[in-house]
Amino acid sequence: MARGGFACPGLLGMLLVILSLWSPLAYAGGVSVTRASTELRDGSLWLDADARLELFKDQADALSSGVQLVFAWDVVIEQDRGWWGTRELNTDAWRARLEYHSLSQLYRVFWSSSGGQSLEPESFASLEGAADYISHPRNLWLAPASAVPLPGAYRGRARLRLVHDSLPLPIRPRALFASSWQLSSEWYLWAF
Amino acid sequence: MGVLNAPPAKTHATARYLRSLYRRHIRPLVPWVSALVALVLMGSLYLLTDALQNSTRYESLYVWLLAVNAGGVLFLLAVVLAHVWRLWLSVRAHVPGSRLTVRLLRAYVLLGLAPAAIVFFFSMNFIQRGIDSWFDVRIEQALNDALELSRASLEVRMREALRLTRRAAEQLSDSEGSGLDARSSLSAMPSLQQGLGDLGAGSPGASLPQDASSLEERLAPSEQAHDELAVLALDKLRRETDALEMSLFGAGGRIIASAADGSRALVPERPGESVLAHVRQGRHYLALEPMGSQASRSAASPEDAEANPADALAVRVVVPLERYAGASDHRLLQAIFLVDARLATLADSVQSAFHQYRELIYLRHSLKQNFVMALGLALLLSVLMAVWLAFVAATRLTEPIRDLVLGTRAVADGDYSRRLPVQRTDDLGLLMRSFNTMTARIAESAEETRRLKDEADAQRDYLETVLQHLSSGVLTLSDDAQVRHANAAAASLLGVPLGELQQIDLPALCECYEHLLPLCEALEGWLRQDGASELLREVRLVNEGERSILMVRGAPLAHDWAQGGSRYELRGAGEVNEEGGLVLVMDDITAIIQGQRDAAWSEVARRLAHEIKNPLTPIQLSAERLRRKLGAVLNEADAQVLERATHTIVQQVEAMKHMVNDFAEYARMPQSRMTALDFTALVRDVLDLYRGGVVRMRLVSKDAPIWIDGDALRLRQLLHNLLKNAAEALQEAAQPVESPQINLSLSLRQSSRQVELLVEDNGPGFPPELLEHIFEPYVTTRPKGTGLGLAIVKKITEEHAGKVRVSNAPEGGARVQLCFPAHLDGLEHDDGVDKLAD
Repeated sequence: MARGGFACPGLLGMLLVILSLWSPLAYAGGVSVTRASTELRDGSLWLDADARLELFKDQADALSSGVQLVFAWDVVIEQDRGWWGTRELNTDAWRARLEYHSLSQLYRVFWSSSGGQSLEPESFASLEGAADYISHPRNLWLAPASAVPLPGAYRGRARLRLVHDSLPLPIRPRALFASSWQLSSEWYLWAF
Repeated sequence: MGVLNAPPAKTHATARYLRSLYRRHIRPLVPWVSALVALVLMGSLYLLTDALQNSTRYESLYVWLLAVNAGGVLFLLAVVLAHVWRLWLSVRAHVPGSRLTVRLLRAYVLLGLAPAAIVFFFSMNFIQRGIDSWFDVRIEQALNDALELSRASLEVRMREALRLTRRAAEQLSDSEGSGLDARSSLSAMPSLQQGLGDLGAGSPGASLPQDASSLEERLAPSEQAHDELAVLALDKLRRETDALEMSLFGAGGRIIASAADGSRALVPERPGESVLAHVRQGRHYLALEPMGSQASRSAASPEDAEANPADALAVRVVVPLERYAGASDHRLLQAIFLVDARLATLADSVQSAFHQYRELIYLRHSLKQNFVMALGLALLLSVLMAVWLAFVAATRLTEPIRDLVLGTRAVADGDYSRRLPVQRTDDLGLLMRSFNTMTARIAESAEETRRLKDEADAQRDYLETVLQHLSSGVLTLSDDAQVRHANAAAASLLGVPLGELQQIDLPALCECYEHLLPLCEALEGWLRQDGASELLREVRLVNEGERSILMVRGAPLAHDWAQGGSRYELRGAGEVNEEGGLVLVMDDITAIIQGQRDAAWSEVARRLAHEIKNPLTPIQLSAERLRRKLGAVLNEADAQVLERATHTIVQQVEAMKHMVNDFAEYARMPQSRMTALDFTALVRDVLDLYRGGVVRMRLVSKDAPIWIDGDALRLRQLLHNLLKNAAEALQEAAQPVESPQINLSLSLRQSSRQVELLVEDNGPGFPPELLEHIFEPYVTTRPKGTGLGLAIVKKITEEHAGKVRVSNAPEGGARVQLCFPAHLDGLEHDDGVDKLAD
């Protein structure tokens, strides 16, 4: 290296490593969306989706210790307007809160949307059943039909992820860098 | 390759530009940016620790606070490393003050690190023990026991619910098996729905399934009536058992009938497939379930859940109806019993406490890590800031010292204009002010010295100019006789190039130029005798046949010559002593002496001619009278004697007249009339007079005329004297010369603007002992010569501002060289060719 150049190449390398670890896309295992579709029915736009959600032992331990996990179905609907570009529609985001009920020894799932809607909670004797319930949502209300005027070309994308912000504060740094806590799927795209 | 092999000059220029950019614009901002970063980091660190203590505040910013702190620490680390790198370069380059900076920095860092390390150690210990002290095995066990106790309490309620459900199932089976004719009953009723509605009025939870039409389509008419009657029975049983809901399910889990409390929804909660499969195997299902319809669980956020901790609990019991006569398959009875609110609240409280404690235990390790991380960041921040401040402090402290060192070096190198910036009021500032005062005084002294030196140089230049333009030669010699200064006149008088004269000592000079030996001998004799008094001596030099007489005056300079030995010891090798020595002033008095001699000879000649010429005519007349008077009276023998005697007298008188005329001619004052004349034509004219003689004469010259300013008559006389002397010398030589010949060569020297006439013969030449005096009167080699020929030649030559030199040719024969100044207009016409003329 020439004299007078960058003094600390090791520091730069360390910074790059930290930035690479920082990226949430560094670990994307455990969750993948296999299908998603929307349907206009009864004056509303509904979402049906299928995903593969495998929870690690870390999540099972956390649940049994009383930690609640929140999974989010991020859904984005865009209208393709040709020369005018795309327009993103306002749709509800759904979250599923998973918790363990010690008295009944059941796993419970509570659905709620950003629009204030909620579904009847469901209880499951096994964690796998609860995860399966979260990963296969049916008839999730997204938007009124008026928000999706027809005819029109629309694109949708959806993903399922563990919401780190809902985790207890002390384990958030670990969740940022631990691969077992990187539960976020790639975006699944479809058109309708 | 062209890109890879970029010109180094361009690369260096770019690097210089970047360095200049950094020094001008970026470097001044670094302290302010660093201070700002430090402040931001301190604030961010405070928020980070506050978020750890109270998770509800800054919770969403926690990760960003971590990132900001980590980035800030990295920034400070980079700043510190940059300082370290620069300091290391300074130490390697031996920059003044760099080593002192290192020592100060080491001391500062040690002073800062030691307490920080101690605080960090004890804080770590406190965190570890403090967090561990939150947990107690007994508390954990108590919470576990409390949860188990709650479960046990609820289990009693669950068994009771099971018992009631089983009894209800048995009653339902018994009543259904008694053979109710559902078909007739249904037909007797005006409307089943109306009846159910009536039932619902009395018992609001009793109802048929909402999708009654489809149910009707699927069921056979007898079964349909049977099932509708079952609703009444279910509602009766539900109220008897105090169940919240009681439902009858058929094959595939289809709802046959349901009776529920009025607060429940019309559609009963259907058990899951696993429950159905479990019960179809003939076993019962008993489970405690939280009731999801509570408002407390309607929101997905943990905050909402914590705000409404109470959760309703229910017992779900599913049992098979094995003796259900009217059904074609097994039927299941599900009953949901609400747990007593008081018990549910207590159980939920126990569960909440259990969860909180378990969560704390679960988060204990992470919590420690977070506290350690925050503490580590705080420590890193503190240490890095301390190191950075140590750099700043050390630099500020050593900066004036470095300036002092640089200033001292500048003064040592002779730069007295360096002034140190005085921006401090402490002792270092006083020291720098003193330094500035000292350098100012030194500068004044140096300026005075320089001014005096300039004056001395000016005086020396003035003296040098005067010396260079003096007609007298001036030589200054050092104590060791080395020529220190010499002017051009000295070089000309001594016949030595000026450059060589100034780079040699006098003895060596005399060895190189032998004609200077008389001068060295005179000096040596003077120094040997005294050396302290002034020298005044006449020195005769003969350089290449040209004689010159120098009047040499010498005097010691500055100090005694004889004391030089003691001073020599004080000199370094190679030094030139600028003091002492002696000065020699030389004047060419050759012309003066020659003039005096010529004047004396002229006076002698004039007197001689006057005194001798007057009696010659009476003598000649008397002799002729004697011959005429006595020749007739004497006898023949006496007459012959008389005749010979008188003839001899007359001849000698004629010779004496001739000699006297020569003397008169020599003594005659020159009255030349100078005009421009063609010297070549003049020489040819004179040579024509001697053509056909015994001595052969030949002229080598160019066709073009060579012009000089001269008196034709006098020049003819000069040539006659030369040629006549040469011819007589050849003819009167002791040993006869075969083919006597005189060669003349006439040429023009453009460089020196001189016309040279060279006259050579093939005779015996000049006796060497006479060369020095050959131009003096009465100096001759011929028995009959008067010795005035060459003297007259020299006189006429000098009348024409010329020079004459005599010598012997190396191959033998005499050689006379005459030089005259060329006429200026004739210099440009020397384009002829050499021509030989006899």
